[in-house]
Amino acid sequence: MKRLAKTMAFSLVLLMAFGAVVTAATTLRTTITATPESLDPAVTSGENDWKVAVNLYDYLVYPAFADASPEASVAESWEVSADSLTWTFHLNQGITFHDGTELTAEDVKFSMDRMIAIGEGYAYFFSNRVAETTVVDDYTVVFQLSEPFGPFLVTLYRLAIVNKDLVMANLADGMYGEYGDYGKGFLLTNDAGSGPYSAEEFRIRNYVKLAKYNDYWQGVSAVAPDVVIANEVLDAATTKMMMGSGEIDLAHGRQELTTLNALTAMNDVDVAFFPEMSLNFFMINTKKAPTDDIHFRRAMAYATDYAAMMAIYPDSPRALGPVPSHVFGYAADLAGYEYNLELAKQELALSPYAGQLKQYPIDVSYIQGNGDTAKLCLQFAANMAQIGIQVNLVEAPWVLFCNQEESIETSPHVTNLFANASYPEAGAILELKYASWTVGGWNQNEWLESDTFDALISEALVTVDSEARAGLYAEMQHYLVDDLCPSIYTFVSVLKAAYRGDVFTWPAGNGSPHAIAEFNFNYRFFEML
Amino acid sequence: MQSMPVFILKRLLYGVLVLLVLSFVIFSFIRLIPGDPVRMSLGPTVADEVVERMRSDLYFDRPVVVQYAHWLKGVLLHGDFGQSLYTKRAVSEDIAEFLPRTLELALLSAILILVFGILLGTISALFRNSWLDNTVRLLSYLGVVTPPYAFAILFLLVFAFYWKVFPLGGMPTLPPEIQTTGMVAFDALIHGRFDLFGDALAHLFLPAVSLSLGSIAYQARIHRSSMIDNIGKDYIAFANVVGVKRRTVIAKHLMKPSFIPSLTIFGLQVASLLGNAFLIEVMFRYPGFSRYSLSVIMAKDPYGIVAVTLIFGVVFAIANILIDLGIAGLDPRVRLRTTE
Repeated sequence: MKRLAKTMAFSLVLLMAFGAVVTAATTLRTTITATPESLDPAVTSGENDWKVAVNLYDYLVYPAFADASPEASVAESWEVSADSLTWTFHLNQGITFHDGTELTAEDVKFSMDRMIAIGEGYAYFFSNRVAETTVVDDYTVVFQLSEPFGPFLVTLYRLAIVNKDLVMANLADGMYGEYGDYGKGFLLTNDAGSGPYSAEEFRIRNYVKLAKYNDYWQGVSAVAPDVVIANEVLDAATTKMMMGSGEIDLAHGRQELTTLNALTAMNDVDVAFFPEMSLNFFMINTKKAPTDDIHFRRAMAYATDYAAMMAIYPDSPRALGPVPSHVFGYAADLAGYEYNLELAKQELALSPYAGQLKQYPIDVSYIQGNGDTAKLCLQFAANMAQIGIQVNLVEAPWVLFCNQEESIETSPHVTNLFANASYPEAGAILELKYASWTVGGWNQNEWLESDTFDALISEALVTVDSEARAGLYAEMQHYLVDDLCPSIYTFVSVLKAAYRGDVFTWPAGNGSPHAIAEFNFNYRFFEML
Repeated sequence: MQSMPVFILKRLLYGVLVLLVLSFVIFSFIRLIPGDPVRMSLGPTVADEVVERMRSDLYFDRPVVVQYAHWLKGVLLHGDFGQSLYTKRAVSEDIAEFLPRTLELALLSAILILVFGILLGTISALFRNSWLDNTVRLLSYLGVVTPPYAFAILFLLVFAFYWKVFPLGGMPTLPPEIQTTGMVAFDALIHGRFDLFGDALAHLFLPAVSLSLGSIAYQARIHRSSMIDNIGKDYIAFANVVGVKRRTVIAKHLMKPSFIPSLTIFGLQVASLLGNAFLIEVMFRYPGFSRYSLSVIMAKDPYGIVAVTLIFGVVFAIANILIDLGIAGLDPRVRLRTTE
């Protein structure tokens, strides 16, 4: 009897242990450079915001992994009218938000109207283009554009669909008339989405905690993490210690090289590489002496040691123009500039400032706080010194860096920055960087203000035929690189995320990264080991 | 002739006046700095009319005096410090979340500074020129010259990474039902959650030690000097000669007057802990007020900057009042002068 009791007790313990193993929740612990500014997808445009948004929300179309081309998602199909002004989307049925209610065309309309009304984040894609959104029935929604917009479909990657009823039930006082604050206060720390994860907890400037949504309409694998915790960790030493002691499984991809090397030297720590739609630019002020002279600019482009700069950011492909090579619309036949001191001196000799270099030192400004960027600028200064151009390096806090871009006079001769395409087309980065209506922001130090360029980009954006649009993008890139040289293009940004290969696998780690960086952090595709 | 309560009231009123002037000066000064904080917050791609709408909603398009009056009215009547462009929510919510955590860290640091600073200073003074004294003096010199973040890295490496005695930073989150003051350890304690209290203390200990070591060293040096000064006084010699017990001489006749300069330094050290905690909060991933303060300054967040300046002002004002009260309590001559 005693023996039987012991056996039963032992079996019970075994059963409980087995049950615990089977049902224990898996947690993925990551770090981020900063917690999201807000969980509201209508007000944010930052990298950290969208790493979370791709998990909380769904989109009419979803970018394909390999090339970011639009695939059916919430919309199972769509049609566009002959004049390219009317876009009709047919929605999948049975998609539920995290509160269990069904996603319908009304929610899509509300999301678009809300985004346009608030006007922040990525609203500028739609604000002057989407004239009206109409609900035809529960599963059909129509966008009426005021003019054709070639990249419209890919910009829908930034239209997160929010739960209208939930948002309307949580309005506070605000500046949007009958809509109050349009739910901005509520969505700051809560989600109203239907995505594979819900926001369980968000502590501003501390951490965000996501929980798997098991009723996700596309299904979430049992081996995808049940919980994801993203901690804001600013310090490299802390990151190294946390990875070394197993307190984190995935470090953010913006570590400095020395930190990354230290992380990857640890046992079981691998690195995943994925390119961004982003380039490192030396942005040249084309309206301020001496950089207002084309020969002076070309001389700088030839004097830049691109290989040395790429050594500071290893594994980053060389950039020959303003568009990353993997982005639609990239001109593959660009010659670009190579490091050639002879050509640099020849160009400089043609410049009216040739004999007066000492009277025309140039200021090169960069954002304070990143050691690798500082190294780039030091390298640049050393290169310019080889042809007699004197460089004053100015490391500026973010506030001052932004302030200085408000006028031509206060903008330095050169700034160094990574500029990013917001949607996977050349037009995104070309418009952001060189259109005259985007001057005065930190993304553009060139002050190009070219009628020729403005005409080209305007024409490209209303061209619906993708081949024709690509042709216009190519024309713009040649115009910039060959004729104007307003920037020095160094390399395409590649994110390198250190992670514990013994804890989980993910597409980026398996050599199949997503073409859009933030979408690599859709945790639905992660597999815990 | 004024009584102690009247003295305190006067000090409080002066303090309020100073804070009002300070708030106006900072409020105006921020608006003189070039750059549009709203544009910076929203980004370069947002339409001008959206920026203008937000500027209007935040009162930034009014004259400075009107803005200040509106802000002051909000503070005094509703406790509303305005909207933060950095966190995109009410500044009062930020203060409620971040300030208690740093206050808790500062409180623990203050206890460590008081206890160990005075203890080491006393030992050093009583055993003057002995190996004990020399050791304390050397350690306190090292403590003063070593920046707190260096201690932080060392403690993290040794006690959290290699020995795993303490956690690698962060702070536990309490269940909503026991969040009362925002101070994690304190709330856990008053609600009888000793498991969480222990966990919170474990997370607080290394940051508090890192933050306080420099001040402990400085406090020890000040207290040592003060005690040595008083040891040489006639009344101490007299007490020794007439046979008062050594313990009584030290505790009753030596400590009290020696504590007066120490108290002054202690008060100022503790008040400055709030602002000095930034790097400690970064390294220990401690989501506190010091880190928040620097962030709103770097982001040029107007309402955030005024609020943090006010908070620091209040802390220093209260610290000064408490120092004065403490000194009055210790030194009867000060009490008599106050009431003359």
